[in-house]
Amino acid sequence: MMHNPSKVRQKIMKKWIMGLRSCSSSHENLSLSERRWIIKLSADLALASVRNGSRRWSRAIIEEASRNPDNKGLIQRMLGSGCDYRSPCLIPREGRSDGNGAGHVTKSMWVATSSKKIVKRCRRARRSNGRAPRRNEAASIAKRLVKKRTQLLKDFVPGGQDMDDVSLIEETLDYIVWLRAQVDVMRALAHSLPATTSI
Amino acid sequence: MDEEARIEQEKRDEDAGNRNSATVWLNLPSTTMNLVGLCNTETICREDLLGSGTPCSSAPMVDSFGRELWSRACDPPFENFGYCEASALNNSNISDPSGNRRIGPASFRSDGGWNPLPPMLKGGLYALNPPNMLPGSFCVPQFPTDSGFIERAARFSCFSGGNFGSLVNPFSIPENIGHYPVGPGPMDVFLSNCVKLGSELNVEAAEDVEMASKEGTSLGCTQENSEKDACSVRSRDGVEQGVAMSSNDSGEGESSGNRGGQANTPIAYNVGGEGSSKEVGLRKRKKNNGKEVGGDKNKEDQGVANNGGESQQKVEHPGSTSCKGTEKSDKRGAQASDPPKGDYIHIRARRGQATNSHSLAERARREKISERMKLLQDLVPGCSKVTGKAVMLDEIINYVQSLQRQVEFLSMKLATVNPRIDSNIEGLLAKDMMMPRAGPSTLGFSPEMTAAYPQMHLLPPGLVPPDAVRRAIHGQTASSLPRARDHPQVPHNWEDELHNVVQMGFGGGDVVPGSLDNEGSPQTDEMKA
Repeated sequence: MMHNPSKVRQKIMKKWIMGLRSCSSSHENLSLSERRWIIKLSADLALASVRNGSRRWSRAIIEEASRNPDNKGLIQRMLGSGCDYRSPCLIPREGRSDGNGAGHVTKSMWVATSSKKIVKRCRRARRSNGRAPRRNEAASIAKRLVKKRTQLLKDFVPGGQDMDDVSLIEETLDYIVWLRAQVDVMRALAHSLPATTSI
Repeated sequence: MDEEARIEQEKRDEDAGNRNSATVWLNLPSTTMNLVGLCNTETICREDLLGSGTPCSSAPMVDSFGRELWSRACDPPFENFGYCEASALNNSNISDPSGNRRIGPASFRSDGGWNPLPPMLKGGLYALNPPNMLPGSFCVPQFPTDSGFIERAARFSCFSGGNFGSLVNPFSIPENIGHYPVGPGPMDVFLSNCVKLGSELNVEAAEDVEMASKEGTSLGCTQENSEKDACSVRSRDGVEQGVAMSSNDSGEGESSGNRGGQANTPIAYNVGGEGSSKEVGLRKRKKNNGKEVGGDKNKEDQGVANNGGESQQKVEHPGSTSCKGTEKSDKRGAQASDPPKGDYIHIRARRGQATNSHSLAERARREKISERMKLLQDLVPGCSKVTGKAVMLDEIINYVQSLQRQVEFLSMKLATVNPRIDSNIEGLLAKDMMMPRAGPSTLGFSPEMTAAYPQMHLLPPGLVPPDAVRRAIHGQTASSLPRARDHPQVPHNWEDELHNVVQMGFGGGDVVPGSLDNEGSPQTDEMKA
């Protein structure tokens, strides 16, 4: 996963600062919430770009950010105009703008995963049809709990909505590791700056 | 003696008891923050279990607060409470060693000079309390008299008394322990008391007898398995079990099933009235003693905190194998016992399992999932001893949530640091690079810099201070970055500066996950505060 954590963090920090600089040059007076949004967004994008799109969540972050037209400039500056950070299947679509590309990608992915879901559902229905209530209730309750939490996890992990359980856990694994790196980077910057507060 | 009388008086007032418990919470400011923070992170995940999805914003809401807190395996506050109670308990006990001990305690006394428990039971202790007396009664025996407890107490004698000394002083009962016939007995019993007290703290508002009984069983179970130093861990387990029980009424859920099974199998006969009586008595004791023993908390922490990690392992493992838990847990166990598979899975259908391709594929999928869950266990702190998908997922969700919140918090913090984002960066770089010209305060300097120089042409020539480079080579952590201010520098160009700043920030050293977590909690505390 992360072979050299300090290097990774350095990369993230660099990209992030670059993004911040490029962004702030265009906006002179920003409100606190805007600043916060920009800081967070650029941090997320830095993280995703360093991860380089080989993971679903990183692509999802970028896609979500791309959907907002206001972010386009920042995204382009931070990540370059190419879509090479997208999944391999999207590289041919390089010519499209961010928004369209994102939408298209999402749709094809969505189709694939929803078909998976349908198959799963049919399988489950068929299996449970003739099944006597042999299973103890605890098991079904446990299953329900797990399902609920899986759904929650999907909400938290970017891009996790259409994933099956196995890949969801893998994505979560990866995401946690890199999220930690992001937190480290941000904390390092926060600690190193003078602690003046002027809102 | 008057202490006991006072305690008894307070016992009778149930509301006061609740307030006391709330006060107990509040008296531990360092832990309260953690608790609140944890509480807030719990909301989503506890909804389905507790039925009350609201986060605990105020300490007095001990019920949900306690549940949420304890389910998080929050060690320090837990240990605090357990030991607070225990020490107070012992203090009061020692002052009256020959108090009105009832049949129950008497039996323990024979086992190991069991003294600590019935401290305030002047009002009348009974060996057993019927469950329906649970909610309001304050005349409750401290310990069950049944054979289960005796068995446990007997097991205590096998523990060595070596660690006794380390814990004696914090509890200020060394001289009194000597009075008791069996050496290791009192300490272990005392520790078991701690556990019960700790568990009591959490289950104060719990109504189920079932949970209370499981506490008792878990108590015995854990004590069997762990060293006596692991009292805090046991208490945590006990609490978690209790919490899990209370939240899952029918024992639903893998986690509670696992833990309940863990508790149930060793001492099956403990289920029933004695647990409830114990619970109530302990509850009162906790309420009354909590306030008095705030001071002892710190000492207790140190004594026990270290041992939390190892013992829990011992606790959990025996339970999981013997648990009569849910089907899911059975499957997990079966999965674990399957030989490792390659990419193409050759699965033998286990006895009694369906052999059609669907179930085989399903089993393969489940094994994959469990494999990855194991990986996640290593990643998420505090999950290495958790078994069960639901609980693991819970922990994972909370961890991800907390990380994301840290990011938000940090971005907010950075946003407030300086009105201009660019001056953030420039301040960072300017500190490092403008030292020769900068005055003592770089703050005053950076705005000038910003005004004077466009962004990309920020700085005059400068270079990384040799000190900073040296530091980077030696692998300084991020905290060393502020020290860079004091060193003169002449950056060559912006890219170099940035690179060096980054290098200084991260040096060659990694921020270990441990430090992340350590720093993380203060961050989240700030966030939640």
